Amino acid sequence: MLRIALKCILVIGSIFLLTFLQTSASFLLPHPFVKINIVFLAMIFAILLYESGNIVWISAIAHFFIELFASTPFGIILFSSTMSILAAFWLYQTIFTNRSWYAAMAMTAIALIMYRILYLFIFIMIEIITEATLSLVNWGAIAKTIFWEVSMTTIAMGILYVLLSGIFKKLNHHVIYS
Amino acid sequence: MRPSRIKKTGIVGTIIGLLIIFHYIGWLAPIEKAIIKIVSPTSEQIYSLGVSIEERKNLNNPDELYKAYKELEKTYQEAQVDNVTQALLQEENEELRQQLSFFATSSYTHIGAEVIGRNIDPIASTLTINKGKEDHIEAGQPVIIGKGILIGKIARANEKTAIIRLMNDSKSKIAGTIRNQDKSIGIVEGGYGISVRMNFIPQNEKIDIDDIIVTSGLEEHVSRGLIIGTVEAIEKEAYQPFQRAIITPTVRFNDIITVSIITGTP
Repeated sequence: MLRIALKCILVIGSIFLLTFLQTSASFLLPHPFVKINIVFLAMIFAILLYESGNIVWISAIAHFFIELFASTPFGIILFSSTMSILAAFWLYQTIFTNRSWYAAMAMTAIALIMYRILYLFIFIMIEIITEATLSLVNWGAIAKTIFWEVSMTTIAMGILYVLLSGIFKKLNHHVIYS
Repeated sequence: MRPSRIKKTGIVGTIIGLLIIFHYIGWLAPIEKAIIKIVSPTSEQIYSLGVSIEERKNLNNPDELYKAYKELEKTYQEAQVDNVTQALLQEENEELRQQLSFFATSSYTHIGAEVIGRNIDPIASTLTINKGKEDHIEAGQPVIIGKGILIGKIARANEKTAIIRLMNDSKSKIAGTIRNQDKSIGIVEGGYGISVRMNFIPQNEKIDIDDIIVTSGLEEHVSRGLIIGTVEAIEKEAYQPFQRAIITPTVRFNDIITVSIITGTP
């Protein structure tokens, strides 16, 4: 019982920490590293480490926190991110089953691209419904930023995986476990 | 895809959809307020520390150089504001002579706020402040620093916090006018990194480097005369109806700690 309570406290504390990092500290990184999506990186890494579907719900809570501080209409980030993390979990279960840094990077890149495709789709739908002028949106800048976000987050995942595979045996493909 | 995965997608999608609906109904308001109440103070401290670290990063002699730099920056901004105020007052004086019942309004109702976070979403350029709907803040209101230097507009107002869309955000659009002979008007758009661009300036109107750009007052909530920046370069193409100006904003978006939101013009 105590163990479960401590686990819950740890999870909630981690979510708050991720929120602090994303809202108040991520801008300290120089461009283009400032584009790293810290919350997404943490969630994908958690999938690799814990191999549990509960990460999808933890991701939903974390992105719910982020939604409270975002400029987009409520729901865009929450829905897109949760569906993308769910898809990433299934990708891990069915395709990227080997524990390697390149599988982690591929999973991160695909999940982030799916996230942004969903995000833009919902955003465009809302703009159409509210009869906003889509031609006034700077699509070039958005595309460029998404490119940097996917690239930097993927590279960060690769580096993180290589560094932490020495500490967490689960990430090491030489270790066999059931 | 196996049926169980479709079912799981449906369950997850339904729960997320319900969360979104509950948010708009207002059922999640107590939880959201509690989260914001916990996150805001700590975010504010971390953000302030981050800004002071960033400010000192590139200085060789931190203390004296930093003080001198901040004083010069403040003086430059105040001088720009004074120049524009003087020019606007002269124009207003001329209009008053021609009208019988004109009353100039130059005082705004405003509210101060502190920045507690920045760029929550990597593809946006935003600031989070610790004031919201409870303080009469609404979407679309202009946000300034100093004596009238525009940094952006309120994109979204929650109960106790609000999100400022900075003018260099890709979705930012502000109606501006150039302090030139033709009083050229155009739309100031972001999404170009540090600089912003003023588009839809008529091709035949003359603009020069270092011309000052201010808000034109042609959009709701945003009054005339708030400083946006200066012209850095001009882009013209033959046979095009409009030209474009690349603008350097007056303010550095990296070190904003306190802002003022203009809530009304009496």
